Amino acid sequence: MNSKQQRFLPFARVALLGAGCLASSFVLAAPTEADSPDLVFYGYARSGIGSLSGGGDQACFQANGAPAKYRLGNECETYAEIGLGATLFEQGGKSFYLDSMIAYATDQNDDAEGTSNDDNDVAVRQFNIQAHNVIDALPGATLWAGKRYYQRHDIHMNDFYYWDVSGPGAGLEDIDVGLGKLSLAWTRNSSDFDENFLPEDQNRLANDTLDVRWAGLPVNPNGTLEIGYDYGRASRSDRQRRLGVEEGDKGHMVTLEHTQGNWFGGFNKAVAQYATDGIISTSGRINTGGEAPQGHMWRLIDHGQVWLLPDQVDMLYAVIYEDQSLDNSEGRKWFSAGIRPSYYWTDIMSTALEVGYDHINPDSNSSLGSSSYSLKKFTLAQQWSAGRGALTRPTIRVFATYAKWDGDAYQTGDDGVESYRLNASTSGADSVDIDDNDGFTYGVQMEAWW
Amino acid sequence: MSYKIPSVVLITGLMITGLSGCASLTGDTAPPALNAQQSSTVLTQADDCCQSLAALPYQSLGYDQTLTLNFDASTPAHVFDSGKSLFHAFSLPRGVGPLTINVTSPVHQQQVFAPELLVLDVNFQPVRRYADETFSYAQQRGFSGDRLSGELTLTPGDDAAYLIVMTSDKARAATTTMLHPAKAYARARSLVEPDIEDPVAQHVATGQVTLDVSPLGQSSGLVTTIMGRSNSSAPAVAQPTLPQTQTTQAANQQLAPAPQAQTAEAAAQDDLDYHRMINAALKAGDIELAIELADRAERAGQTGTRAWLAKQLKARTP
Repeated sequence: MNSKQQRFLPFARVALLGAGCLASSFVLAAPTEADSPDLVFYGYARSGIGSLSGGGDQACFQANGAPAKYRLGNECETYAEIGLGATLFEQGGKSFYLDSMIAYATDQNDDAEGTSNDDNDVAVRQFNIQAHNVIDALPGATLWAGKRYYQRHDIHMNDFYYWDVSGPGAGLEDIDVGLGKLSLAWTRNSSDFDENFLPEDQNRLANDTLDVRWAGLPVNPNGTLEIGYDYGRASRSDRQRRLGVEEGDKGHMVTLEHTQGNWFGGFNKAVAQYATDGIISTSGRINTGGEAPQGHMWRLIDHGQVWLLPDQVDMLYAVIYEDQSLDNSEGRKWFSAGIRPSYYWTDIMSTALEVGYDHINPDSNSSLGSSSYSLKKFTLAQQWSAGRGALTRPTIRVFATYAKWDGDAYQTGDDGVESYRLNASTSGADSVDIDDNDGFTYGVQMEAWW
Repeated sequence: MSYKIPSVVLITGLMITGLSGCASLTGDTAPPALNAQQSSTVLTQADDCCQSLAALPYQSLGYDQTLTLNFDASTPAHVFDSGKSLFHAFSLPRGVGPLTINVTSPVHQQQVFAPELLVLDVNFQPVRRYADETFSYAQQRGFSGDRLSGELTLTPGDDAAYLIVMTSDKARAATTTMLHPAKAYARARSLVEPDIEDPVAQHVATGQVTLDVSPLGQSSGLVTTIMGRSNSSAPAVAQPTLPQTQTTQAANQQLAPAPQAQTAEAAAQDDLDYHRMINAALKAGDIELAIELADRAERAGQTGTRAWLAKQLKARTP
């Protein structure tokens, strides 16, 4: 234990145990292993300020119907995750790790932003225990239970989570099967189906996902394969069944992911996913009930990071093709591609350019309209970071973003503005005019993970 | 629509070009990156500066300072028992009590200078070497990049009179496996860690090492605010030197009797420092050292220090 931790622990204990322990924490000079587990403090935060060039709050440009947007200089909210973890028990290779995380999201409008405003949120995201090595028959495996970010897969550049069944759950992780590791999990994401039909506490459908992953299969030098299967279904109560609450179609999803290391100084991930019915969604979470989609979905992804010039220029890149083919023809095809090259002037300062392209091709009955459209987005950012590399944080960036899309930003519905080409929930319909077809924003943002 | 692209573009453009301009002016503080080959050439071509350890060019080290040491073609070299190495040699400040020395060697472009510290006695005989068991890899976190770092405590005196910062053949033969930034990101965000190899830093003959020297027990941040920082001119007078190098972990040090005789003025100046040093020893769990320091304080004319320590110990026992 280094001296910094020694200094930190008494304060950590004060913070955790409350003022009642204050006196003893200061008097007991040398903390012992028993009364002060090593605290792991980790998390994520982004926040900043920006404006639309014509005036008004910063707008963030996401194509209507696209589940993601390229994020550099294109994030309008303050979002933070505070993680605190501790190994509560460790003996003979067996350990119990407690993990916790609270997430905060605000509109980034003013000073004190509390939950009295609907747009701001404090969310319990993780509270789980991961028990390593506790099952003698499964050496190296982890038994876990509780709310958890479970083996999430994302594309950093556009904040797109393509495989994320997180939620309350339980499972067995990293079971050594000789070749690779096997993980089994049961997670839940309940849905509202009809708030008028039943009282609020009875109108939720318990949606269960059973998740099986076989990871770390060596298939080529520095390359591994992961195979995943997700099964989702609604679990109705007797009362819900009696009242004829629709269960929706069960869903299946298969994921194949190839990870290539030693790839131009970075890595590449190639992903193929196929999903049916209720499990058709962004992340593989089950979404059942009367509103559950029926049909199937294909998704192909390639993304990663490469160094174009060692220690001078690197690049994030992503290509996504997703075809949600629904029986009622309300689906759509989504194509997305983006690059973020960065030039590193020094260990601290860099210039990043991000170019993103999203194309939506709605099916015949889609609410997205009858013609296909696209959104292009360009951002130039001057960044100060703790080191070189696209995934090095913390960062402060000064950015300018220009976006252009086909057609009007919004259309006027019966009750005011409705989405048309822009996603109204991210763009802030009060800033972008209803008939705009491009926009320019600028601002300063910080981003950190630790 | 009515927004004014030109002015904003201009402003942003100016900001960006202006800032880039600054960068090229101020430049990078890190030494120019040499590849492993160039780095080893620097060492090979460097002449052995000196016949013996006694002949090394020693600079005096302050008791409370931060030094950035460059190891490059302009740094002297010597063939040590552990192999030829570029080095910086210091004479340790006497009479200031135990020192905490923080050593940081940043990884730069997948290369790092793996530091070793050699402590010499007053006759220039090596008495202690701090090597890879002291300096370990710390991953990029906050505003600190990937680095080798470690902390040690030295008590300058006849048995610890000189300090050499260097590397060795053995250290250079090793490598440091770092954490891939994509994995650090995955850990922070609770994502699946990509199944990719971590980058490996070569240990090279050149680089940069930061020494952060401070009196033992002088802390920063919250603790300082609470305890108060002592007058930094204080510790330069007395001679409460412990005759042996030690680390905070080594609780069972044998301590020889301290030299007698100290003036009253000096004693008054040292009052705070003894208390602070004792506090630090207590914090490190080294009660023996605390008692020894209290004895010294008494001998130095600070009556009441033993009683004060007894009170501290009483408070610690429930």
